This record gives sequence, C-alpha cells and structure tokens, in this order.
Amino acid sequence: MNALREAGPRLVVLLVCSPLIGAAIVAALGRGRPETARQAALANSLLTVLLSGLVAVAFAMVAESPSDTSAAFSALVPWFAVEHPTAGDGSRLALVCVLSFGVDALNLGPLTWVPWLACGALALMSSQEATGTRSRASGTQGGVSTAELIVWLLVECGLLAVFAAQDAVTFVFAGMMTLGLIGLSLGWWGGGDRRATAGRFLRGQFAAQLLWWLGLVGMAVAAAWSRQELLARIPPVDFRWITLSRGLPQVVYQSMAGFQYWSAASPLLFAVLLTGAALRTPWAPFHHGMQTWLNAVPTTFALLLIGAWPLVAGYGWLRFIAPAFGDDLAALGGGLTWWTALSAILCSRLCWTATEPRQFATAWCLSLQSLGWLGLVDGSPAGLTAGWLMLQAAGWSAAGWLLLGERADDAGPQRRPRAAFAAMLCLLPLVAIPVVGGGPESASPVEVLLLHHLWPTGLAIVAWFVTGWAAMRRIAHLAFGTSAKGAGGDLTLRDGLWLLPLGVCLIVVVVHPALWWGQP
Amino acid sequence: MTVCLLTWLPLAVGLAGLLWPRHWQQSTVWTVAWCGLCFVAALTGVLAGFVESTSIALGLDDFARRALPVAGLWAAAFGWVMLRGDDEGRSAAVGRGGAILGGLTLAATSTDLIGLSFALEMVRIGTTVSRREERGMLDRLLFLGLCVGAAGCQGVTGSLDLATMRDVLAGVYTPAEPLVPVGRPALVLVGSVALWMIAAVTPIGIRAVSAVLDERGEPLEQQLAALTARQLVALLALSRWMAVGLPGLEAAVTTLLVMLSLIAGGCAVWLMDDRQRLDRLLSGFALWQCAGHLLWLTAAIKATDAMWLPVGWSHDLLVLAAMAAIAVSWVGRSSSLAYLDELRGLGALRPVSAALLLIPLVSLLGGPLVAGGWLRLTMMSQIFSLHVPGPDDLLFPRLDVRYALLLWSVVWIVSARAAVEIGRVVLLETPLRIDAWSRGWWAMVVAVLTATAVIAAGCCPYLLTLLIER
Repeated sequence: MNALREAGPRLVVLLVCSPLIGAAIVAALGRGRPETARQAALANSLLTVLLSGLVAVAFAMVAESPSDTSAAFSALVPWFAVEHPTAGDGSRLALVCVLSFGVDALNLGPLTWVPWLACGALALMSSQEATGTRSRASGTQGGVSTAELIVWLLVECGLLAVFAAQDAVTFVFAGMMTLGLIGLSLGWWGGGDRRATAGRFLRGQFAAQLLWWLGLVGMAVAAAWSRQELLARIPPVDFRWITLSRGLPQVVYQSMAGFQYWSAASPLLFAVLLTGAALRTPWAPFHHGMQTWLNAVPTTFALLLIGAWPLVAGYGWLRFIAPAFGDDLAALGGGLTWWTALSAILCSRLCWTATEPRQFATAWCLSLQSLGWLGLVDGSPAGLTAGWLMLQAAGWSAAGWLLLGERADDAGPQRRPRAAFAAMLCLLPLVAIPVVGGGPESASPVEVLLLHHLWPTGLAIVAWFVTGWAAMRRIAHLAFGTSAKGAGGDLTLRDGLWLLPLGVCLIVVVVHPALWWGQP
Repeated sequence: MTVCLLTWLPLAVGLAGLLWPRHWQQSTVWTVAWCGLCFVAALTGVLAGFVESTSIALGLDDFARRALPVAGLWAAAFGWVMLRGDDEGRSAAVGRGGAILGGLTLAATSTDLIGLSFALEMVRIGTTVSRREERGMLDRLLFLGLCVGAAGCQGVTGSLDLATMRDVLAGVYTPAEPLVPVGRPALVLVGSVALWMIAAVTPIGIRAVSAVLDERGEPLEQQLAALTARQLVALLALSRWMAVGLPGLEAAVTTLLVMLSLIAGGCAVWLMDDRQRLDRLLSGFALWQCAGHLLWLTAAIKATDAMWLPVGWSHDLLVLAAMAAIAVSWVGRSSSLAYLDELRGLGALRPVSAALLLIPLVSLLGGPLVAGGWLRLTMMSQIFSLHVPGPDDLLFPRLDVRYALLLWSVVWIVSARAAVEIGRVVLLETPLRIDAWSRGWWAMVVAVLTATAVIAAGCCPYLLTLLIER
C-alpha cells in the first residue's frame, strides 16, 4: 500500500501518457491491419481504466476526506524558464512554467470518468452494431480505420491532460491540442455538412481558448506583481493553480499595491474569462452550436464531446477563476444567475421540442449544464460543490441518453423496457443533485441559491421541471411505445399556457417556504 | 552616420543591379550572386551576433548584434522570392532585394535619425513596384514626414544622434512628473517624434492596402516579402530608438505605439474579412503580428536587454515565408496564387506539404508544442507587466496597454478564424486539381527548416532560452 501511495505522481503521469502510448502502438501495428489496431486500442483503453482506478485508490490513501483539496500528488517537470527585464524600474521579471500533472479532490472525478467513457465508446466503436450507428452519423460505410483509432486515443490523452493539469499553461496547451483533434475528427469522419461544422466548432472553441489563455496569463502576472511589495522583489510569474487560485486572493489583501493592482486588472480579466466560459460551455445564445456539432460528429466522438468536453469549462472555472474572482462574482452574481437561468430555460425548451435522440441528449446536456452553472456563478461553497457535481452528472447522463437513443432504435420491442429502465437512471442527476452538497449543518445548494438569487433560481426550477418532464415523456415512449407526439413535437401554445401557471405554482409552493425556512 | 561594412555590400549590389544594362540583367549570374549574397549576409549577421570578437571588429553595438541576424534571416527566408522574379525580370527583383537588405542592415546598425530615415526610405523604394504604386503620393510624402520629424528632434535637442539626444533630454528636459512633459520645446519634440514614428509605420498599412485594392496585384510571395520588409525596418528603427531611450517621453511614446498598434490591428481585421483571398489572409497575419510587436515594443521601452523582440520577429518572418513558400510551390512557377480555394485538397494529395504549411500556421497562432506558443506567452506576460508609476509610489497596470492587448486578442481570434478556414480547405476539402508541384528547392528548404525549428523549440523551449541567454 505504501508503494502505491508513493507511486501516486508517477501513476498520474502514466495515466495521462497511456493513451499516447496506445496511439503509438496502434500506429506501429495497425498499418493495413485494422483488426489488430482495434484490439490494441481496446486493450490500451482497458489499461487506462485500470490505471485510473489505481490513481483513485492511491489518492484515497492520501486524502483525509473525499473533499480534501489540499491533499494531492502531482508531478512537476520544469518546462520553460526565462528572465527578462521589465519596463518599470529595471528589475527583472522571471517566467517559470512547469509541465505538471496531478490529482486532487477536484479532478479525481473526471480523471476516473473519462477513461470509462472512452473505453465504453471504443467498445461501441469496435462492435458490429456500432457500424450501423456510425454509418447513420457519418454517412459512410465500413469499419473503423486505424487513423480514427489513433485520433480517438489522442483525444482521450488530451482530455486526461486537461483535467490532470496543475498549472495554467499545461491546461491551456492540452485544451488546444484536444480541440484541434476533435475538430479534425469532426471534419474527417463527421456526417453531412461536416466540414463547415468543423470550421464552426473550431472557430468558436478556439476563440474561447484564446480568451482563457489571455485571462490566465494576466492573472499570473497580476499575482507576481501583487507579491512584489511583500517580497521586496518581483517573484517569478508562476502559472501553477495554487498560485493563481489560492495565492492571488490572499496576497491582494495583504498589500496596498497588490490590492490596487488587482482592483484595476480584475474587471478586464474577469470579462475575458467569463466570455471564454460562455463560449466554451456553451451558454445561450451560443448553445445552438453544440447541437450542430453533435449532430455531425460520429457517435463515438459524440460520447466524448457530450460527456467530457463541456466539463472542461466548469473545471477551469472552479480550478482557476472562481476562487480568484470572488469579489467580481459577488458583484455580478445576480446578472450571471439570470443569464444561466435563461440559458437553462432555452435549453429546456430545446429538450422539449427535440425529436431525434441525439438532439434530445444534447439538449439534456445543455439544460443540466446551465443548471450546474447556476451554482458555479453563485460562488458559495455549497453552490460550487453542487454545480460541479451537476456538471459531471450532466456529462455522464447525457452520454447515457446518447448511447441509449442511438441503440434503442436498433433494439427490438422486447428490449425496450430495459432501455427505459436504463434511461430512468439518467434521470438521477436531475433528481438528486440539487440537494447534494449541503452538509448536515449547512444549507442545501437550493436553499443557498434561493436565498441569494430568488427569481433566477425560480426560473431555473421551471427549466428543471420542463427538462424532467420531457425526459419522462421520452422514457414513456421507450417503455410503452407511445406516439411520436409524446416523445417530442413542437411546444404548442397550450403547453406553454399550461407550463406558466405551473412554474408560478412551483415558485409559490417551493420557493417561498424554502426562503422562509432559510431565515435565521 | 554610422554605417558598417555589412550595409554597403548589399547596397552596392542592389545599386549595380538597378543600373546595369538590361540585357546583362537577364543573366543567371545575378541570380547566383544574389543567392550567395543572401547567405553571406545571413551568415555574417549571425556570426556578428554571436561572436564577440567579430562584433568588436565590425564596430557593432549590442542592438546591432541582435538586429543584424534578423535582417540576414529576412534575406534567407525571402531570398527565394527574389529568385523567382516577377514580370519585370529577375534582375529588377535582385536590385530591389539589394536595396531592401541594405536598408535593413542600415536600420540595424545606424544610431542616428538620418541613418534610420534613410533606411526606411531605402526599403520603401525597394518594396515599391513603380508600375503600380507610382501614383501613391502619400507613400512618397512620408519621407518628408521622416525628414521633418528628424529636423524637429534636431531643432530641440541640437543633435540627430540618438545617444546625444537622450543625454540632452535626460539633463535638460526631464520634467518632474513624467506623464506631463512641460514646455514648448518638449511639445515640439513630442510632435516630431510622433511625426517620425507615424511616417515610419504608415507605409506598412499602405503597402498592404494598395496591394489588396488592386485585384490583380503582385504575386502573393512578393506582396508578403515587401510587407514583411517594411515591417521589419520600421520595427528595427523604432526599437533602436526605444533601446536608446527617451527620458520623460515614455508615456507619450507608449500611447503613440499603442495607437499605431490599434491601426495595424484594424487593418488586419479588414484584410482578413475576406477569407477567400489567400493574399489578404497572409497580409492580415503579417499586420496582426506587426500590431503585436508594436505593443511588445511598449514593454521594452526601458529594457536594456530586449532580446525577445528579435526572436519574435525572426519567428514571424520565418513562418510567414514558409507558408508563402508552400502555397506558391503548390501552384507552380508560372502562375500566381490569390485564392484560398486553389489550395483545396493539399492535405490529401501532399500531406507533407500540408504539414509544412500548417505547422507554421499553428505556430503563428501560438499553438501548443510549437515555438509560437512560448513566444505569445512571453509577449503577453511582458505586456501585462508594463505599468506606470502612480501616486505614493504604487504601481498601476497601464490601462491603455491592457485594452490594446484585449483588442489585439480580438484580432487574434479573427486570425484564428482565418487559420481555421485555411486548415479546413487544406485538410478537409476534396481536391479539385491535379498535382502541379514545382521545384522550389530554396522555398522547400525554408519550409522544412522552419517547421523543424518551430517544433524543436516548442517541444523543448529550453532551446529558446539558450538562444536568448546567448
């Protein structure tokens, strides 16, 4: 056991590099032998799952509690260090970047979830039935090519690197690589109009990535300058998350120069980072983009795109942004919660009107993401916890919906009840997550949100209800084979009139008592 | 006027190329001579930059040792353009190339305003195709702006030598509050500096705009070579001035540079608005880079060891040259390339060439694991570090620079859109034409070396650090 604990940092590096090694092996063995390539990729994917389990066990041995973010093991490799003079007083400003991977309570979930998702998708990619679903998506016939497997493994590697990154540079660089690979896979193996869709995906997501890069660099420089007064010299610009999200909020209140510097710089940086998050998630009004991408991408890549990619924005927000911009969040929290609540409403409408299984899975993901972001932009510990859990749950449940939807069409009537039961499991996050995150002595996230932002939370509850109702209709369709109208169709005026008083009733019945209970 | 031997050599060759009888100019001897000259200049520049004893023998200062390799690199990167020639014949291209290289080396080595103004004018002449730009009166009038600006500086400080000007300013005209230079002479000086700088930088935009307005303008590679040459000489001249320093005028000069950067960024957005024209896209990339370098200059105003700037210029020159080389080589020797659709299917037919085109493009955008990523990171951190002294000795970040950086990032996003379009056409579209590969060995050498260097420095950025420290 001690050996496992001591091997923790190396295990993390191995976990990230495992798909990369797999890609190299597939490239070496798979030329002209697609069956061998497929087997090698599957074996590598299983090995990655095993490694993720070992990492989780090793972390559990180190951490005192499951939410212990101070307990972490990470591997740091000096990557880039340079010293250059500044324009101020002639002193020198050093720049230090490390290539770092690690695990803590924040990223343990995605690091164990992504290999499972990847392995499942790869198994789907390898199966005979998948050929049918893939053909529907891409419009092509035939098995999976070696190139597709290689790109797939590289995407998995990139996603693991994003989540395991312990510094902003690794986070941004890994995100860029993953983004490019997903765009290429979309353009090469996607469905109709895949080239234009790939272009749109890359343009939007790359813009978000650049904005985040700019904001993170600004944060790192601000952290260095803010510590100047305390240290009597300019410390190196450090991109590690612990400096940005923990050191920066502390240091700006310990020196007058740091406070004034941060007061001047933080609004601009927060605006940049917020725009990047809205583009990347994506929030309304950018949410139509995700439907377009997911409609064009092959099923297997869609599983990763819907299950893991939207998590990156929330993870980056939690890791780097939310701790450092507490004041800005407090100032703008009202507006941001309105934004996310409206986004949830729009996405729940998409959920209601979706007719295709893939459309529904996308709308489901977007709606739950918006509900999760409501907690993230609130900034309270309960909200952040619940928001992060909601985002993760949205990922796996949307991937589940996608998989079920794609396969239920191929299944016979006798398998439909089982599919319906599996779909019921996908409803769990909608039911359970809003009350998760509050301890026995603390308020639940819903209570906190209602106290902080009454009307946006009420709006979100309406969205929550619409999304759940749409999901129930789809489950009923799966179980009993009801008409297509029951599984989708346009939202009529009568439906809307029916929903409106229901939402008001919900607010009156749920919101007011909760507000009353929450009074000290 | 300080002019080193390295400047006179290409000057003489360029002048001879322009004045030589036309039937002699058709000879391939000139081509060979030009190639040899480029390599000699590049080699000597690099040696002069790295070998202390050589630099002492040549009488070069620190700035010249850093700048001369960049001038040589321009010659090496865009030498194949001169080799290809244009409608007027290869010899004319060789003559213009000599003028450009002479101007660049003059800007790298000169330490007074006469030399810098002359360098700017030489490059302007060398990059002007008389048939198409002879009516560009504004372009010519800018030389007057250079002269008037230099005269104003001379009138206030009593000297055209930059070091003497600095000493005079430091001793006499430095006001108590650096943000408010008081007194009529100081105002004249600020106006003169502004005039000189605008006259130095404006031809960059004129060049790009005039080339684009003409639908059947110059070939892509010549357009890009001319644009980058003008950018480089302007940046060299401005950096020389910034390296010497302007005591008391830092705030005014910074604001001026920020404004110039915004103008360059605006021109880049306008150019990249039409994403079907490859010449516009590459010119837009070059202008966006120039906007970034102008911002970067603001961070290096007082820096005594701003080695990152030449590295950034070298990187951008190389990647632009490599991209143009691959694009032109794909179309062939006889025709010129203007539209992006002509590159359709390059990835399917020539994957290596597509990689050689896209690797520099990714580096230009600051992608991961390529040199450009580290350079953008360094640039942004340096620009964010620029500040002005505030009351009670507190430090404030420069507001105008921060917003300029934000706008530069917007242009960055526009550039990324254009790059995605290029990548989409090259990698995803179906080929429409058969292979028309031409033998551009020099261009290929530039492209291969660039891709190799960019990836090596990106994966092992310690190489970049070594280069800087050396």
